[in-house]
Amino acid sequence: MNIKSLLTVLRNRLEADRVNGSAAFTGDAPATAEPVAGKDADHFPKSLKAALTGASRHAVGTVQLLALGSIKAHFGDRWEEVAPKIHAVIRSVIGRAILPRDAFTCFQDQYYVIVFAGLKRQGAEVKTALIAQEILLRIFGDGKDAPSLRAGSIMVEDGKIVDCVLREPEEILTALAVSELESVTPVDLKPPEEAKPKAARQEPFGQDAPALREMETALLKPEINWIPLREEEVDIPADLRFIYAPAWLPLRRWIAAYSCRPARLDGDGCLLVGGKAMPEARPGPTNLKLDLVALRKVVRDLESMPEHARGAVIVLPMHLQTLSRPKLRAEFLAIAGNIHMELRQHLLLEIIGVTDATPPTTLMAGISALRPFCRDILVRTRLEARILRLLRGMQVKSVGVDLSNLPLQEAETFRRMNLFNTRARKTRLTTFAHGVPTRSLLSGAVGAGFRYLDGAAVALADLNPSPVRPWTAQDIYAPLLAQNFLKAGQKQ
Amino acid sequence: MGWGEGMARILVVDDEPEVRALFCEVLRNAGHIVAEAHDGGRALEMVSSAKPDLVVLDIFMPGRDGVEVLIALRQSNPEVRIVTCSGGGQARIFDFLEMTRKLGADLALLKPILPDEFLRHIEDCLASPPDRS
Repeated sequence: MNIKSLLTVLRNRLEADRVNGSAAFTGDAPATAEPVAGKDADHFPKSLKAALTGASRHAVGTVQLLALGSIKAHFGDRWEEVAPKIHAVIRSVIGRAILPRDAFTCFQDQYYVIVFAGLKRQGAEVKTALIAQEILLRIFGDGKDAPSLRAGSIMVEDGKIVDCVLREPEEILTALAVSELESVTPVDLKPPEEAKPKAARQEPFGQDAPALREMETALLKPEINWIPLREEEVDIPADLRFIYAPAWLPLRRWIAAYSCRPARLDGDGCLLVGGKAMPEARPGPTNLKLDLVALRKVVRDLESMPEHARGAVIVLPMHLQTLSRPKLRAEFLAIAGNIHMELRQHLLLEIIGVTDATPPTTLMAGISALRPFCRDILVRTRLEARILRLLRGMQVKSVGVDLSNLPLQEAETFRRMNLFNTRARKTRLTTFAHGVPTRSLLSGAVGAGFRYLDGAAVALADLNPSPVRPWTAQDIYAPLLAQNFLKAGQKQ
Repeated sequence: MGWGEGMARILVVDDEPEVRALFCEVLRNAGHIVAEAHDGGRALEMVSSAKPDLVVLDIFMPGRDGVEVLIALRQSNPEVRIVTCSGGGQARIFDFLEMTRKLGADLALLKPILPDEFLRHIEDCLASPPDRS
């Protein structure tokens, strides 16, 4: 059944519904077509009816459609066999993303109609696009050959469906990103008591803030996979400290950012930074608990930041999992709430642990929760990550990688750095790289297009640290030049 | 990778095989004796053994990058002409090109560059006296 005939059927059914005053729309739909609305199966027809007849005209974003045609075509003759599993996945994803007052149903085994109560068009489209992306991710992974799952708004006028424009999820998110980019305004920091959940979501999405707020509310439901953290699991090494790794902004020719990294001296007196500083076999919760310890340190240091350092920015990495565990999340946000408003412009929060398999809704909720407490959100991923467009759609402006532990030869790292930056440029994302281990990788990273860099090659040259100071390409080679100068002197 | 017979002995150092091959072909077609190296370490070995007249040196390379090779060559072989080159369309490339000039490169070229233009720059460089001030 094509879209046109679907609309005809929908229109006829809704007309019948209006005439009869009953909750039609279940009719002869297939087994998967039971309307779902939180726990109230009767809610859907009522919601739909209210959405379609409550006003003379709806610029409807509230009624969204997901078309499974490409997925069905992808499976071909096997569709009957796999359909139950596919529908189960779709129901699961939608069920997690919507609120009790929203509703969805499957129609003719090929379309999902979702009614979002109270959402405006853009918010509903973004939410549906994210749902579509998560469905594809769950079913097909991050493979390149996944079929599309188009989504769009059903337009209704005088209770009749008059139009339906379906687009690829990426197209919807990119359009949003572009419109946001064009209307970008400085971060408007609000007082802490207002900022906690509300201001955050209003800043990046404007009128669509309710969508994000509701999404997070949905994700905070107890039935979501929040994994409790037991305090007794946490054991932070006593010799672990935090240092601020100077980060170079090549384009501005300055060192003006400092990345807060865990650090430890090993048995030989070598300074281990970042992931290398963590003892092996340390349980995952240790890393998460470290996020809180690091944040406390950053809060203290921001408060004691001297006047002459006020041009500097601190980058604080934190794990995505910290945001997905209720207790840790609550503690993290509570600590972050202590950061004075004026100081938040000096803090960048960097979410780490984001992969192509990260559920978009989880990531979106995390980003939204953090926004009020910092100048901007960064996302650390992998060189081969394919989710850059999705991140751009979530208003992320900068993505990066950690190069300190890559099991690759430098030539291969060069190749991947170039590809990563090419992809990022196409999606209007800036890039950063942590832990650049060698001089040649540092210069190669600059050539590839990274916008700020830290690591041994920067730290070693930064012998006379100062919060904000000029630093040019020649500073990379200062130790080498000094060494050669000494050699030349010795020869003479 | 040894030298042949020709006008000048030129070593092309670039980690990108396509770029390296293009530069080598242009120089060979002009009658120069050309050898090639794919990284900085190999380039330094070849310079010390084969004594080229001119080195075409990419800046961004794995291992020992072009700037490091330049610094080493200026210490060990001050007479050799060095032409650095780099590209990628990034504004910050100019920083590196400018720096290599300060560190003793005879010429700094921005890639991409047309073959004729590349050859003209190389031959101009070979024809003019070195500036070691």
